[in-house]
Amino acid sequence: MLPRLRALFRRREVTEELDEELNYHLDREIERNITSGMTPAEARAAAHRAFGNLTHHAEDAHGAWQTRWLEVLIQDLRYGIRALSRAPTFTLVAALSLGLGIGANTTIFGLIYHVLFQPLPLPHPEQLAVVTRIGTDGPDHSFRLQQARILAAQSGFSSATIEWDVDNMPVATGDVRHYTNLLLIDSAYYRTLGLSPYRGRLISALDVTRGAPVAVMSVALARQLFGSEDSALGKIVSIHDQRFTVVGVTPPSYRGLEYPGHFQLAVPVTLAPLVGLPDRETAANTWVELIGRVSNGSARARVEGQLNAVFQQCCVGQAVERLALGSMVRGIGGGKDDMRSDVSPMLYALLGCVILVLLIACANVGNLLLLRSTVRQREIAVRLSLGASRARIARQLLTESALLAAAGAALGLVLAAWTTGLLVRAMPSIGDGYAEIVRFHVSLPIVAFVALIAAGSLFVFGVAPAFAASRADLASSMKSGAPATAGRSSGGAIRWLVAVQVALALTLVSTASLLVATLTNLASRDVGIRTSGMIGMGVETRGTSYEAQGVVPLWPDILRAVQGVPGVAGAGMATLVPLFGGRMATVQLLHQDGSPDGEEVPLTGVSASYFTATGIALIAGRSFGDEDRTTAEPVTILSESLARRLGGLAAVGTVVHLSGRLDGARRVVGIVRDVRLGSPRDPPSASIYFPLDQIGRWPYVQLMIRRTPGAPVAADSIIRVIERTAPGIRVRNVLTVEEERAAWLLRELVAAGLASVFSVVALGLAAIGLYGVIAYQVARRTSEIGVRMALGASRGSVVSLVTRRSFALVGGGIIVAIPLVFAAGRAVRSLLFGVGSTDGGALAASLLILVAVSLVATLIPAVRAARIDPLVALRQD
Amino acid sequence: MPPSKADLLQGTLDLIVLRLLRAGPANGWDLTQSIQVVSRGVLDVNYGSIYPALRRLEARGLTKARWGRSDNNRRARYYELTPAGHRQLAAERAAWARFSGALGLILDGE
Repeated sequence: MLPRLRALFRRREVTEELDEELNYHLDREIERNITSGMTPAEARAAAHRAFGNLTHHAEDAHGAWQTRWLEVLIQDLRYGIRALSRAPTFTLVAALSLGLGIGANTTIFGLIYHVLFQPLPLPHPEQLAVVTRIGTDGPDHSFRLQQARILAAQSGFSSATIEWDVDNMPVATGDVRHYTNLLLIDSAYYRTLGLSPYRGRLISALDVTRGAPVAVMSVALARQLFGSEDSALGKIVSIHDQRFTVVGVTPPSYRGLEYPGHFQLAVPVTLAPLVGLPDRETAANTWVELIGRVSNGSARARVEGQLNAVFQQCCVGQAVERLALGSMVRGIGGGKDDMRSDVSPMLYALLGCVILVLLIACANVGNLLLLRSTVRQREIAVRLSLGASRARIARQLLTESALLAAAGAALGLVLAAWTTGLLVRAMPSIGDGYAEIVRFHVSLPIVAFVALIAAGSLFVFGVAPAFAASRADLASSMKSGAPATAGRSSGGAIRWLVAVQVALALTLVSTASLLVATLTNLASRDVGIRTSGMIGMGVETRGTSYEAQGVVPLWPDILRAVQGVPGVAGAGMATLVPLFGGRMATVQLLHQDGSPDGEEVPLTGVSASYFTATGIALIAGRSFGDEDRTTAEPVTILSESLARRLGGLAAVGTVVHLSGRLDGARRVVGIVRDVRLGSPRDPPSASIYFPLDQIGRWPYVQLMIRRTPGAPVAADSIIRVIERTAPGIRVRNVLTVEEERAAWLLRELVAAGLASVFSVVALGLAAIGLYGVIAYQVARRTSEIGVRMALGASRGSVVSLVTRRSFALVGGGIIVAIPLVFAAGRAVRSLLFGVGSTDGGALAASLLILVAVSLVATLIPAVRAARIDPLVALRQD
Repeated sequence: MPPSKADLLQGTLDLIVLRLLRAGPANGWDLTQSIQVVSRGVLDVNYGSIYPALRRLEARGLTKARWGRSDNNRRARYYELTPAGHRQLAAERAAWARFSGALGLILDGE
């Protein structure tokens, strides 16, 4: 209602109007009195008498606006701000505690929301569906183009759209060459998505049918190539040495349809031959995905039915398969970069940690409020005796708590933005896609979450003290000048809260120490190659002028050139390297009769120097040498676990028969130690090695360099040497072994790092809580301590008196913590490595840390107690 | 000796104001005078009641106010009925008629 709102927000104006109106009335009254014969002075006096208290009328009239409750609230807020600013230390500590708790929760909630729950930034993402084949091999989204055409045409899934994704496409502006992934889109693609361009326009159906050389790119690529998204528009970008015009830029929030998504560049699919790809109409093996929109559940069921009917007729082979419309609200999952199932246990474990932090923070603030309410008892008693209702007092105290919660929430948002920024910067470079996802955005879900937990914390820490305080006993509070004796009950509550804080902090510290132990265990795990002083880089021929021949004719020259660089102690090449990876291909060993022998084995092509450069020990036979050329006898080296399968050391000299990426007979010339090709958590894997010259055409090789200790070579000078030897070849992913390992351990690193930070925060908060209570007790017992000292107690005995009290609380906390520690350890069990969920060492270390922190928090007030001068203390009473 | 004054029944002031405003816009002073005149001096509305009542009616959207010139050429706040005010008046008059009729039957009946 408008007049009411006006009354609330334009109070002064409304009041002035009312004054004018009442004054008018008064003047008319005076006029009438004069006309009836009074003197002006009499008339005025009579009118005022009749009128009574002008202000009172004004207030009454104003009260009719029915905004009284809001005014009371504003009054409460004003009073609350005054009360809080009168106790700056209390306010600061309370707001900081809440800020830390809320900030930690917001950080983790933001991570969880952005990584696991954020919907695609498209209109009605819940309507989007991807046609999924559900068969024996798990869900699969790809169809042959002809099948997809039939499905789309005959099922009535009218908005069907097809996409095609190629990585490592060379893209250039001027002389600068980049490699990026390219999306080939068909005419209905952007219409189906409903994506709005950020700048310019998107690729239209007409562009696709006409084969217009136009491109749409992400903001990131536009900035990389042209400096900004605005300057990219209308510019020419060369893709695979063909000129395309940039017509538009997609919004920063759009990462493509896949999860986590890496959309960079899109061109019409009709131009595939222009960028060196097969024409999809004539290519034998074109795989596409079918996406579209269905308006609701019944439409979804209908389309699914039609798709299945068509699919069974046209395409289903002997495999038992059916089709479903998969949801893609959060993007199409299941890709190789989709780490959601890997990271979600860690994220939920961290959520558990931050909830503990928040509880500790709430206990802290609740504690401070209880302490403060004992100090404020006189003030409250005075207000009660002046006629304030208990409900009003409780409301006032609750308003103060709400102000604290609001300050904590604001602080928490800032902290969350800051910590998330730190986290993004700390992420290893391979986490690119993830760094983009976890970047902090203040969005509606985040703000809603902050409001929710701030309100929740308010309930936890604020409600009980408000009602406890408003129940103050008038008579006893007003009686003495000394601080009123805190009620037994609130003193008990305070001690209980401190014990809980200690327990929660210990739980967090022990959980964090388990995660840290996991990280150190994994980081020190032997992956099979030397790790210190090693640097690796990929040498790739795809997208370069060497594409047709591959690396095989080039590698000896490159390797020789690199080995000649000063500061290089050793260098070797391989197609697949532990931690670094490479190009995965497998061979199948065969029995004499040609039947498969065991599982497929990943193959590695290596230079002769690879084993010595990386420190993979030779167990038997010989390493490869210069004699193992393309034309020489095909040879192989086995890793020890594969050799064990084939007769152990006796396998050297025998011939193995292969099929798969390589086939034919190969003579085994040596056996080397196993390496770990996958995650450092995995067991060592069987490998089979071949000379680089004997693996056929290969587009990629990983160069591993051991740097001379003391005079390490710079990566740049190696890259220069490679580019001089083979101009235009592509060198990428220049990383040390340690960096690669950090990338593998990203999840463990984040878990251990954040859990450690949170446990430091938790310890700090618990220490503040403990310190506050002990300091308060010392202050209250000043005269008692004075008497003790006057009667001959030594300073030492005073310190031990205070310390005993404190450690009774800590001990209580530890006892409460024991079951919590075990439960928390079990909860994070799936994340641990090389350490049990209940680890004695970790627990002992956590206890030590806790006791040390508690000791500091206790000794400060204890020493202050020991400095009490008995004369001064006794004179106080 | 003036006629003895009657107390206003709770809630009837709003009805009276609505009824008087039906004749046209009026300010607070006019209304107190009108009430006195129309009730032949029986009802003397307190200044402290009329302004809260006017504010209340405005807040409920039954009247709207604007600044105008009074008969002695001073700025005064004039109130007039809104369509909602007209409806409310009709409804309350009907209710009053029913109530007073019933009360009359009870008080005057045998």
